[in-house]
Parts: sequence; C-alpha cells; structure tokens
Amino acid sequence: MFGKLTEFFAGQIGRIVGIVALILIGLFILNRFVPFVNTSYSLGTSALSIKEVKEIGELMSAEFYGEIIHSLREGFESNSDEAFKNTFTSLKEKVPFFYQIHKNELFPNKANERLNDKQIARVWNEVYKYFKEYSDDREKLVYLHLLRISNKNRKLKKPKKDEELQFFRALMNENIIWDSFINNGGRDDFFREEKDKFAAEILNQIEIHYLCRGWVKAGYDLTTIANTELKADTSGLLKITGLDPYILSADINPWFIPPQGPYTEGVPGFELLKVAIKDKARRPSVSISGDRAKKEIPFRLISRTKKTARIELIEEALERDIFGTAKSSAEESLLQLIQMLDPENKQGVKAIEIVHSENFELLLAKLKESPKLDFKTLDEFQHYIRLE
Amino acid sequence: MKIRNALFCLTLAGILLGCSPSDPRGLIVSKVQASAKLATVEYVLNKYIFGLKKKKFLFVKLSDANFIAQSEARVKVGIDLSKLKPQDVEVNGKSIKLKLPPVEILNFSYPPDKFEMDTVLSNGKIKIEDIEIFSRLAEVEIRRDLHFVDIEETGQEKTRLFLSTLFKNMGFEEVLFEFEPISLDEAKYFQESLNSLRESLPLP
Repeated sequence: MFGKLTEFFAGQIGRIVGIVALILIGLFILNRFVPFVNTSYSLGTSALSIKEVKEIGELMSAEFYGEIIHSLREGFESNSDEAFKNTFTSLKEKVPFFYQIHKNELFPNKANERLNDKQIARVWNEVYKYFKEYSDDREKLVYLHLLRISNKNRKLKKPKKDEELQFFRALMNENIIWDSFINNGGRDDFFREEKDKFAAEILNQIEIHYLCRGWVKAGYDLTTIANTELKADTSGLLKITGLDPYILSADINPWFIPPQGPYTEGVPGFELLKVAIKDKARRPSVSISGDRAKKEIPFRLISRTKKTARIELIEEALERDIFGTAKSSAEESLLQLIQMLDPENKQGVKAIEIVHSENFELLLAKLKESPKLDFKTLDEFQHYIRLE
Repeated sequence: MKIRNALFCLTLAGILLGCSPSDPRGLIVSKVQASAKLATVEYVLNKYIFGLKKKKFLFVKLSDANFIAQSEARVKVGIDLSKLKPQDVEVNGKSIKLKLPPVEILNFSYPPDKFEMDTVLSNGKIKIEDIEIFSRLAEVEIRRDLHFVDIEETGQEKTRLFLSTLFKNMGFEEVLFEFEPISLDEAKYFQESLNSLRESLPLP
C-alpha cells in the first residue's frame, strides 16, 4: 500500500517537473523568435555644436593600429603623480565650502560657537551625503584616507566608528588635515605613498578589464618648419635640423574603424572582458561579477580605465618604433614633394634627412632602454605627446 | 513516454538554435605603417547624449533608464599627400599650380575621458554595456552629422592657406590651387557603412 502511494506521488511529481521543464524550454525557444524581454536603446535629438576650429599643419607620417587588453590596475600603475595631487587640491577646495553651507543651514544661531559632538555629527552626515551622492569614489577614498592621516598625526585612539567624527572636528576646529597635507605636500614621495595606498584600496575592491582597439598617429608639426635649419651638402643630401616628431593622436573610440574599408562589420573599440566588485561589507573575499557589478562600477573609474588604455596603446606603438617610421616616411614624402616641384632637379636634392633635437634623441634612447612608460618618462615625454 | 520524447526533441532544438553564427570581426593590423597625410584644420565638437534604455516584457513596459552626458569629439581634416601625382603639379617659373586630392577626415577622435556623465539627470539601472552602446550610437550620429558641418569648404580654405604660406616661403610668388571634389561613391559608401553600424545596435 505504502509502496503504491510512493510510486503514485513520484509519478505525479515527475510529470509536473516534466511539464514545467517543457514550458521553460518552449519559452526559451520561442524567445528567440518573439523576444519576451526586450531591451532597446535610443538617443534623443541633440545638436552637434562646433566649439572650436583650429588651424593646424600636421604631417601624419606613421600610423599604428593595434589591440590591447587593459585593466583598471594598469591604469593606476601608469597614472601620473600630478593627477593625484590635483584630486587632493580639488577636495581641499570642496570640503570647507560644504562645511560653511551646512553649518549655517543647520545651526543658524550658533554659527560662531563651538559645536558639541551631536551637532558635529549632524553636520558630518550632511557632508557625507554630498560625497555619497555627488562626488566620485576616488574623492571619497582620498577623503577617508585623509581622515586616517589626521588620526595618525594626532595619535588618537578612538573606535573606528568615531573616526569620521574626529576627522570632521579636526577639520572644523583646527584645520589639521590641510596643515598635514600642506606640510607634506612638498615631498614627492608623500604623494607616491598616498597614491599607492589609495590605489590598493580601490584595486582590492574593483576589477575592470577591457579589450581595446585603436590607433596611434605620429608625425611632424610643419607650422614650426620656419624655425628649422636647412643645409644641403655636395652629395645632394638636404638636412632639416630641429624638426622633432610628435604623437599627434592616440584614439580608442567607441567604434574601431580601420583606415581601409570595409568597416560595415562594426568592430567595437572597447569590449568589456571582466568586471567585478568585492562585496566587502557583506561577504568578505567574495566578488560579485556580472550584471550587479556592471551597475555598481562608478562611471569615473570606467572613464579612467579607458583613458589610461590610450597610454598603453602609445607604449605599443613606441615599442614598434613609430617615431622611426614617422621619420623615414616624412623624409620620403618631403623628397617626393620637392621632386614634384622641381622635376628637372635644378636644386640637386637627392635625399632628405631629418635631424631631431638632442633632447628628443636623449629621451628616445632612454625609452629604448626601458620601453614601458613610467610616470617620470611619461612626464618628460609629455612635450612629444599631443593628447588633449 | 510522450513527454520524454517531446522533452528530448525540444532540448535538441534548443541546443541547435542556441548555437549562434560566428561573430564577424574586422582585421586589426598590429603594425606601424607609413603614411603621408597633411592635416590643416581641427574641429572640436560638442555633443549631448540623451540616451534612453527601455526594457519591455512582451508589450508591457518594465523599466526605463536615462543616461545623460556631455561629450567631445575632435576631427582633423586635410588631404592625403600620397594621392598627389606628378601630373597634378605645374611649375612655371615663380608660379605654381596644384591639383590637390579631395579634402577628407584624417582623424576622428571621440575620447571616452571627455564623457561627462550628468549624475543628477541620469537615472535608472545603467550598466557598463549600456554606456558602451550609447557611446557607439553617439559616434554614429556625430559621424553622420559631420556632413552638415562644412568640412569640405573649410578644409579646402585652410589647406590652401597653409600650402600658400609654405610655398611662398620656398620662393614661389603665385600659388594656384584646384581641389578634387569628394567623390559621391565614397559619400554613399560612408553613409551605407554608418547605417550598417547602426543596424548592429539594439535599436527600438
């Protein structure tokens, strides 16, 4: 009796599971023809406005088209100290401003009095709300890091939950954070140290990896040709001295469109390979990837990863001697132009040689020794990289 | 038994339909190549992106999300000197006449770091992929709208100005120019390519 009942229920359950599976598979197949959940994208009408029209005179004589894999981590490694200094400075300008606004708003009658802990906490909450909603994560982390500096400097031994309060009190009453910032600001290693700690903090939480396709174009600024020295020798070699090459553009656009068609296949410039956020608060060491992570990654970090990808692409182009090709190609183009202007060769020019400045050659030699662009080399090379 | 057979058939159909065709990709040439392009004018262009993402279940609206950002594009215009042939240059003493190749876009730059997202007006669930799609859509629109920016005329004028100065410095007293117009076939091909890029995106 019991056996029969078990068999009956097992049969019924099996049938129900079968039917449900059948419905799900049916829906899956049908979804390919009539999508049930459909996501569409559109752009509202907006004008294309001309901000500026610049007269230039660039001879693009070498082009590099390439593909790289770039991550947020690599971006932090190649980030210049200058950018980090700027974040500190911008934060320095913002915090007292918000303090002033909220102090008067919350305590109109006590604007000139010293506040008690409860009142300070209320002001802090307002300021924190601002940083939570309107400022990017980079600023928030610098802000929290400054908080640690303040506590370290004052040798405070307070529970962690009070750190923020202590920071704010210090900020209001003694301005100690900015003193600490300014006192240490003269030292380069201060920023380097802070940047490393700050980067570690972000990189422990967020991972972004992109496959990037783009180009780097190098050549000469011909508007400066009047400043160069031209000398022809008896063998017919025309030497152009003092004309240096530049990286004229380095682009990874939303679409990668190669120079020769067809580009109808539409290859994306940026393809997301991996994105993950560690959910520290809830599950330490467990990282969330996929849809949830994609929603939570701050926009600024995406922009930043994309921006630094351009630097890596330049490194690739430099490794492949883009400046060497730019030089030989420009020499050939200028010779052809001269031969067209003087078909009977009355001037007797048989070859052209571009002689770069000493400074450029020194930097190039340095670069050949270590092909990766570190902060310092990049800063030194900045003059030869014309990126907006 | 019937259910089992039906299940088997549906699973098989699902597997077969699940195999998507291979994704065609363009060739990326990872090497440095020589070129001879003369850029004489650079446009800095502004574009606001008002992106709308709609999610529907059949005909029922599930959610809408807005992505609002300001973006900047930089376009360099000039001529390809490698298209200049010896017969295009006529020199008579101190006078020179040049038949120059058509003015063209030599570089299109749409830097992602110039995207300023409006965090106040943007709302809803926007994922990284959504931002990619909106920026691809915006690039197609900018490239399409470039036809309304007078690139050909301005490009010719600036090229003329630049080369006149250069040739006068070289000792020529009279410099005359003639430009080949942008070929209609190329313009048509460009438009078709843009349409094709647009079609590859999930539009309503």
